[in-house]
Amino acid sequence: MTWTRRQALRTAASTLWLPFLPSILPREARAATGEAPRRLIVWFLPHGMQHVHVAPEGGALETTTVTEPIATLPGRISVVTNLNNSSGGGSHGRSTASLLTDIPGPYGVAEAGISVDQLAAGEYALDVPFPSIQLGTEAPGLFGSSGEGILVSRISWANATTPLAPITSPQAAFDQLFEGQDNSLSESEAARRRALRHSVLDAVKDRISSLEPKLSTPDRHRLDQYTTGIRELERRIDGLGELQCEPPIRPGLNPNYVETVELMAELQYIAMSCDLTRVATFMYGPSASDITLPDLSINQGSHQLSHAWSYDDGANGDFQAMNQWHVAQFVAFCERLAEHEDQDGTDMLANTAVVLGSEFSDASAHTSDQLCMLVAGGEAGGFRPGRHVNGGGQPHANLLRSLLTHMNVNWSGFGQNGTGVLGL
Amino acid sequence: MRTPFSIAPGLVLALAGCSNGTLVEEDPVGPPGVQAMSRLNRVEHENTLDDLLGIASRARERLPPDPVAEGFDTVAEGLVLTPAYAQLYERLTDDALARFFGDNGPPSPDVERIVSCDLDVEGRNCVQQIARDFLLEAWRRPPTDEDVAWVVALYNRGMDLEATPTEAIRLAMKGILLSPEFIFRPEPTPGEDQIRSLDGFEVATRLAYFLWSSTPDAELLAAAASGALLEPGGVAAQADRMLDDPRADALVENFAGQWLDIRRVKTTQPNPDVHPFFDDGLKASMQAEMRSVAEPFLRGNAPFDTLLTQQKSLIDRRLALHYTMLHQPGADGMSSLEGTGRQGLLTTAGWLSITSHPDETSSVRRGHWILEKLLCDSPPPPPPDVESTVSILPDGSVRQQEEAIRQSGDCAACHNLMDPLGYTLHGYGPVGLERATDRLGFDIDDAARLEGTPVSGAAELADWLLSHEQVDRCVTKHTFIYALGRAPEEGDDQVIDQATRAFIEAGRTFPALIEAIVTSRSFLDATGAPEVTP
Repeated sequence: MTWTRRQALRTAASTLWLPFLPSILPREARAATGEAPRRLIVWFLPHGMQHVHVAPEGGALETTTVTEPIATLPGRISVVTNLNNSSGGGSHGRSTASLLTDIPGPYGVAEAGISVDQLAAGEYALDVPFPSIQLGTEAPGLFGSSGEGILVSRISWANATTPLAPITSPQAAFDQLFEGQDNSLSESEAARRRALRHSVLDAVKDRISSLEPKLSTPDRHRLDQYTTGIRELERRIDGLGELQCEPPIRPGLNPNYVETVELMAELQYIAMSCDLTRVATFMYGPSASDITLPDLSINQGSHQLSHAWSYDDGANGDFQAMNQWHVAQFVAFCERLAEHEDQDGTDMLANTAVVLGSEFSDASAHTSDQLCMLVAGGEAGGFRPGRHVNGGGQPHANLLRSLLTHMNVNWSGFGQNGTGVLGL
Repeated sequence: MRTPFSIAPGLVLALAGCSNGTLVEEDPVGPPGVQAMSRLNRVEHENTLDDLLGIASRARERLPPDPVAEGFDTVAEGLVLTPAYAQLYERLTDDALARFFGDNGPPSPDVERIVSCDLDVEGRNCVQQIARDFLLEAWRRPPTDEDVAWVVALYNRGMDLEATPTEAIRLAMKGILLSPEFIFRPEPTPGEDQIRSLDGFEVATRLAYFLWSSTPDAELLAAAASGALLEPGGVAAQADRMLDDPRADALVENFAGQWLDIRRVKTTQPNPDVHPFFDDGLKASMQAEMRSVAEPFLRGNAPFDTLLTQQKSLIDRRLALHYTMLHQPGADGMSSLEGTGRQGLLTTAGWLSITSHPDETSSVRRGHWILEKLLCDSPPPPPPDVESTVSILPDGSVRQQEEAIRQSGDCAACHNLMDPLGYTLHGYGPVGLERATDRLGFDIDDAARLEGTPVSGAAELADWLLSHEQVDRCVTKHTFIYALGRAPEEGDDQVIDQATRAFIEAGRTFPALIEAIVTSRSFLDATGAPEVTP
């Protein structure tokens, strides 16, 4: 049923009505069907999920220092272990870029493939104002000024050469999501303003068309992204006024790291509960992030700890405490979803697959062959969370395929190394 | 013979340094490298709006940080535009025009210059006049009749929607500022593998974004229009003029800000338990000191050597307290460093902090930085199958710990290159203070052998670096990347050689290097990209 509606929308959109298609069905209509959308959220914790710090000893689910916070949400979060990312390993950049793409780019070159979240986002692009959102923080990184800088700081890829930069300012993210919601205007004045915006965007599309023939093929590809962005914006302008959620308070400028993490989690929660988007990725920081957590008296940088933990007991303790804090933020976010009643009467977490993953399984050695992740929710898609799922060395691409299955998206052709679907 | 930018045949060569500083004498050259179309980065976007409209737009705050490729956020390959930008651009353009027309304050003094006629009285002619003038400035080239007609059509569309003439012209300006001609720097392709000379406006645009991080001014556009720019000596004359302009501070802010990592001080976080006073104010003071060391070279007032040897710098009260020295600036505002054991960039607290761990120095980071930034010989990231076998000394100095960790075969090859450079600066702690003992209480040992030469301390390191055969070419290479927004390719080798030679012959002065680059074929020609992307 969902499938049919979506197909119908896509077919219609691609022929005739693209710029003027209402972006979402009226809420009452959806409530009547009792359907809730599937959602996908992936959080990236730079080098934080060490196999030896996360994996339970036996087959059963047991928490460790790092995963202890998941006990507050029993039965809703699985610990997944022993997944092999053979596209990663070695460099920070490749391991990060391949985490959601399963494509290893050449060393130090900003190339990978489409990421799992973007594949899912494309499928629902016409159903929501924002096909996907990418959020992050201003965490300082070791590779700030080298060629690895791009690879380590993006996990979402629109295609092989278009990594999507996360928005790192909560205020900018807020403005992006809630811009243009002005309920004080009369209906006719609001319509006139929409028409004015459309006239400019139409004119800009004409400029793009007239410029394209003069450019080389690679340069035309660069412009394509702008056209896509303008089309998405046009659909959002048409959808204004249909959104029925109260925007939260606009965040201030320059929050610190901890505040940024909390604000970004809140914005994801609101964006999902208002159905502004169904796909989000969030990066606690780039791979080789060097954040400290002074509030917890952890004053060595994250990247330094990610190496030192293996031979220094003090660093080992600090590193686990730092990662536990990050897991706790993830769990608190999942709890917010679990407390929110969804349109089908279940909770929002049941319709959402929420993943926490890292690029390395042993950051001190830069290995990616025993990856551990947390997977929460997703019951609507057949997930049975609350377990220890031992991947037994399967490709991590199998987990990515499972996420696509949850999203009702065909995964054939995705990535490089998949051999099956991981039972989550 | 190994050319400086050939790819080393194996890891060993790469580690030993692919560059041996030899200058290629005659040209086996191909065409200059292909220039990808550049998007204005967020700093350039803001500067351009501000210079164009006479406002302070703060537009950069509305855009995400730009990706850094090849060390700079001016590199076109990294400046991907993602769909989210469409909305961000629309909003920041609305903001900028609101400031320009004075929605919530005084209007820009440039309103009368840009809206130069009476729309109510002169109507269509007035719109055309505004369009012609503003398009030239905003798109950095003379508009065609079609371009003008496009603006008039957008204006008319606004009038149809019951806009006032001022609202309609604002709508047209919004369209101009959201057009790809403004947001990008398109240079029409000459066709696959073809080469063409850029026209005067394209050269003016490259010059302005290189030297000012902003749009060409009226004089530069006039030189492009009259043809004077492309006459012999024309580009050099404009470059000279532009370097004297305050806008050339952008070279300190953006080029040195990234090449010398002055920007990174802002995100440095030493251990607050040990360094509780390391706050934003101190970071700003540190950045100001680094700039004061870089500025004489970058503004053309002193040779490159001063960057590493200058014995004075800008030390404000806050930084003087940090250094525990008296705040006694000279007439020029700079403090003398004579007798302090400090000289040049590599002993500034800012540089020493960004190349340290939060609570200890890192010879690796310091050595790696010097290799990458001054010798262009940085080792590759650890190989994929690197074994992290680490032994820890029960009692040994910080330096001995560092030496022990890297002794394993896999690591030694790279670290034997990086670490000794860092050892020479062991006398400076993690936030840049001089020290006699390390964190563990051991005496400082800052003696090292660099390519066979015994070197200890900052002064000897500076001398060693300044006599190194790779340093000139490395300065040239970084400047080239920043200027062109791309890494040099094989066809640019000769240009880099010539520019390096010009730099050396002119006593290592920056204006000579700039002139050599902006008058080279890499800067003045465009090469067509392959039509099929790999």
